[in-house]
Amino acid sequence: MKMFILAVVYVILAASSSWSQGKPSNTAELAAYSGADRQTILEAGAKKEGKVVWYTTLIAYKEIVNLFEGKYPGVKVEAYRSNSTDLLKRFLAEAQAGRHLVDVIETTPPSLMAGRDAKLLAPYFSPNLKFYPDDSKEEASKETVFWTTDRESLIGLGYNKNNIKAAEVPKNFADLLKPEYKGKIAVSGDATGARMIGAMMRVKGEEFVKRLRSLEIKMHMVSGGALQELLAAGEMAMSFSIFRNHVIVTQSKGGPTEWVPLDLVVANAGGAALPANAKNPHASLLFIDFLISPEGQKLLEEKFKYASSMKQYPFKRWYPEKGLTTEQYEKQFNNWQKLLRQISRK
Amino acid sequence: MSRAAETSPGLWLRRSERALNPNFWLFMITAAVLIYLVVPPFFFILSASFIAERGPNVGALTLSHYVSIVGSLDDFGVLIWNSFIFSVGSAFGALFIGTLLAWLTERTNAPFQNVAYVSAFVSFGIPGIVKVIGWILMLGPEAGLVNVIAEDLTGVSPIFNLFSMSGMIMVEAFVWTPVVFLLMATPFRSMDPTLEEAALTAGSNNLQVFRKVTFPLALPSVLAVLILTFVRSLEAFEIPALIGLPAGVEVLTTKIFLQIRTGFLPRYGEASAYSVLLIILVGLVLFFYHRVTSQGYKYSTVTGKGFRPRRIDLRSWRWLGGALLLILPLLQLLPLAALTWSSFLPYVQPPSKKALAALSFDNYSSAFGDGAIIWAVLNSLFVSMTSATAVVALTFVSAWIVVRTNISKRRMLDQLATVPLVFPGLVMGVAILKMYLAVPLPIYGTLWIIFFAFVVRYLPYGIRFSYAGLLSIHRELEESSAACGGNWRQTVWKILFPLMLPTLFAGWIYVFLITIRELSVALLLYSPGSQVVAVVIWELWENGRIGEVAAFSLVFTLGTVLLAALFKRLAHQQSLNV
Repeated sequence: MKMFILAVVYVILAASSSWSQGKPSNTAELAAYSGADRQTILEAGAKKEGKVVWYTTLIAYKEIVNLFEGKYPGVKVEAYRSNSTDLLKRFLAEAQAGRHLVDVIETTPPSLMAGRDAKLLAPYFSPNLKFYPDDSKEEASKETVFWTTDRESLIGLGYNKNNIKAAEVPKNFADLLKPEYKGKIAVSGDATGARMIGAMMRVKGEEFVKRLRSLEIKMHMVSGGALQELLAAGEMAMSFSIFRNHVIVTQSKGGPTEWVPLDLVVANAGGAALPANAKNPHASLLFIDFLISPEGQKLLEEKFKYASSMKQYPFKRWYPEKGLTTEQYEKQFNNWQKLLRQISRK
Repeated sequence: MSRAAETSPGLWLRRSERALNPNFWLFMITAAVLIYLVVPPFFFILSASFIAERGPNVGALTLSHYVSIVGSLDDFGVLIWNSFIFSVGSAFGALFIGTLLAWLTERTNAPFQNVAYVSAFVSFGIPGIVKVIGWILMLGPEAGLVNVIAEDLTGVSPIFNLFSMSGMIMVEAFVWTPVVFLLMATPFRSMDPTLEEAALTAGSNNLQVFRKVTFPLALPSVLAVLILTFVRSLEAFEIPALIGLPAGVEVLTTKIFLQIRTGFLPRYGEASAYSVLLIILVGLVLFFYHRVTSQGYKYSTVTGKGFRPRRIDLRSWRWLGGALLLILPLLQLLPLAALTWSSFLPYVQPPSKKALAALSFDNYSSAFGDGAIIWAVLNSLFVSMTSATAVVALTFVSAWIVVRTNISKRRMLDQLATVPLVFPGLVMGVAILKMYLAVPLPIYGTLWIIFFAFVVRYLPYGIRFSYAGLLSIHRELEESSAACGGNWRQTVWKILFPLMLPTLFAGWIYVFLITIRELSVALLLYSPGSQVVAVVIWELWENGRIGEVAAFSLVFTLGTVLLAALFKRLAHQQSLNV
């Protein structure tokens, strides 16, 4: 009897002590938990879970996986890498069917917005959030975020040094209208080009964008990376939808391309988010912490030439979808897309 | 049933025999399999086209997707005209070149016949988008290899501008030429020479024989191929977008697909509405096609008489024929040449002393540097071999039932197998995904989901190959087997199958080579641990390294073509070599 009472008292004590310290009991609480023992809880939990399933659009995923598995032996990363459209399709379809297979999502903000609006993302806390400026976080509350921008690709003007001299290159949006550039400019027909049109509208207004039509701009339906290769080959003299990281890689191989920022540099971001029904939440949080840690950022920046939100650059960055709802962004985006089509049409 | 049925022994004469008739049960099983494969995705597409995806009325019935498709078509007259010129131009271009090649290869003594076969196979192995980049590198107006060299020689620049309507037609025609070539080789290979000899005896010259005998005999195959290429180029998006848009040329599909694809979230509703409209259109085309081919016996070219098709001696024209056989594969290989060049370079550049100094194998070592590639290759081989086998087996049986039996609903099999032709990849991937998330089979997250997607997607091609083979084999061969006491299984296994093997093999190899690098479905459906080669190619492509993509595609294609050649040898040992 004495033993029993002791046991009951012990259980009550244990329960109340964990309650009074706010120990997390479900995924939502765990994600928002910011207690001093967070790291210990996560590591212990992750070891039990043994794995984390990661859906990503990140090029550098294999290297990230290797570094993470080296740091936390006993937690295996299963990665599915795809483009943002397929990733979103899969995530939504699985969630709809009640098959919660994914633990961490890393993709572009429009897809993350769709996930957030469908209530499929859990707000999370990370000690690394303090390194990031507000613009690069999608805040859910004061302490927690829906996602953190773990990498940025910056869009500006790319040109081929063999086709055009550095002194003659446009320095800002207004310069683009110079008649000598007629027939020399190409643009990517996908989101990259449209978002740049958005930046021009923001700085210069719609009338300015419409005047670009006189330049006979050629619209190429290839990805930003392929467009940069065609630029290096000399098929076009310049394009205002070129990614900075691609140019840096080509330059390191002796290629003739250069990148310059214009009035506003569009940031194509990738954010890390936690699915609300993640089966391995401890490992998920550990993995997100790692992605946005100085260590993870260093790999993405040095080896893969992404820009980091943690850093300052000598030009102004713009996140087109920041602060918008899905509907608002879609409306604006469609308008940019339409304008892009208008100015590139014969 | 009645009169027609009574004339063909072995078929269900009386109602009571139906239950015992193996043909009937074969039909039921085949129909059930096809329905299972095709109808759920079709149903998904149909319902998606009528249901609002987003906005305040999400989930409600709507016609807005159809309205929006039709509404996107301003300048309708121009779009229709451009689409018409493009489809007709490329379909006839591919048909003309492919048929000529097939005839030269199978029916003349022109040299380099194997070169034509090999180049056809090689061309299937390279992803379309990679090939288009190859064309841009070769014929781009500013930096294309051909234009740069021609400018040095002639001072004219550019001599050919790829970014134009003629450029679009040319590239699309070259994409389809190898398919036409393989489909047309069958009727030419297995044609009854007595008919041609009769014409020759009657005083016709070679040209007249071709025009009045050879060509009409091949006509059903020609029509089938024409429909395939026409429908494909009508719904082609890649080439109109990659080559037409920089030139400012828009066709129906670029207009519609730009609206569907360039939204920031995919618009399944509109994509589905569009494919429903296409299904109706293709249905009409098929209806007329069936009216032409329903009397298949007229066109049988392999009969019971022993023969080998006569090869025309081209005499002094022989080398012209050979040159044609060589030029056309060369044109196929032209973009590959540009790719091969860039596969040895750190970044894409025209030939120069500096470029020659920079040549290296770096792209090859980095493209193959990852050990996980071996698993992807094994996965790909497995899934492509199984799906090619399944497609060929299923369509062979379907085509046999349609051509040889009198079961009243037999045409349904052909229609079922053809419908996926118009499922857009964008929607079909999701349809399959949702289907296997719902079906209680443990397929989701394994390679098998990709297998099922491939089978559905390539049924329409398989059925055309099977038809081409069956239409040309006369029923009397099967009947004489039956007359000699051969049972149904022996007839199929010992007579029909060996006779059809070359065609079935061509179909098999087509599906095998095209699925092994198929991207639109694989990228959505693969899972961690079931990665396939196409995903590797896509990753290299996304990283923007054309050189690495080229290196990987070239080596991988070479490997698969060698493998295909090995299979071909094995298949020929089994066949009767007609």
